Amino acid sequence: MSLWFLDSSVLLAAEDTDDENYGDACRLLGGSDPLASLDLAFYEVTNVAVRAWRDPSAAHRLRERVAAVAGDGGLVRADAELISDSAALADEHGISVYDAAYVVAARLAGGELVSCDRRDLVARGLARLPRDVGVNRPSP
Amino acid sequence: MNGLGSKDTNRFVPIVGRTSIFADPASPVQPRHDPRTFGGNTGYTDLVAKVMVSLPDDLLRAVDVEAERRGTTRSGLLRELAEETLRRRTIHRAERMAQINDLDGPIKGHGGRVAELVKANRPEP
Repeated sequence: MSLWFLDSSVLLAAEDTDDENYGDACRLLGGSDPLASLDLAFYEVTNVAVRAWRDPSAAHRLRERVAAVAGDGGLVRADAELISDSAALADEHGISVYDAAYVVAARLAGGELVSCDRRDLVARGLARLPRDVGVNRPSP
Repeated sequence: MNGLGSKDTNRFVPIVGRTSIFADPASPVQPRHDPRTFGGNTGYTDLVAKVMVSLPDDLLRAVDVEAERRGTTRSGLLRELAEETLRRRTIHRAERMAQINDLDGPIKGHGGRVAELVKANRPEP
């Protein structure tokens, strides 16, 4: 049993059939390993659904998915210490504090970060792509 | 999972997982719920953690009766119950995800490149 820590891109990929990670993101969300995320995901997925996609139905499903993750492995709450650690990591790797916050939160939770962000996270070894996560279907 | 005696639990809503094999031991950021440091009394024999758990007498009696009924030990029963609880929670999440897929009509295509969209819609400093 591994704890997979999802950033907002994985949650969004499961809501966009055009995305190359759609199938793997859906498989991960429906899999048998515990999932967790950062509270920032609530804002980010809703922002993309409302501002970029202009799709209220997608926004609704995305909110419900984040809530489902919160009821499973939980949502890490951002606080001063997490942001401080994120700022240091962002500086070290030349990435945004937003991206770094997911990396730090995943480490705090004892999980591994999963992201669709190849350039800033996967290529630097800070996250795995959904397709590189082996998950089983839940058994009843 | 509350009442673990650490103020760090306030950081999680409620978060439970296990220490991942993927955690980087060299990282300055270490799991806040590492069982070696997450409150209580924890020791190790071989690869199994030994923990001290506080239970009221009547609950402990019930645990022992159930352990005997199942033909296991007190420790084995508590481990089974913990595993069952966590597995049930994850199964519930997986089932909930399937229900969410059917909410508000079909899931549509939005052009992909979601990671770039997230970045493009973050507030500028």
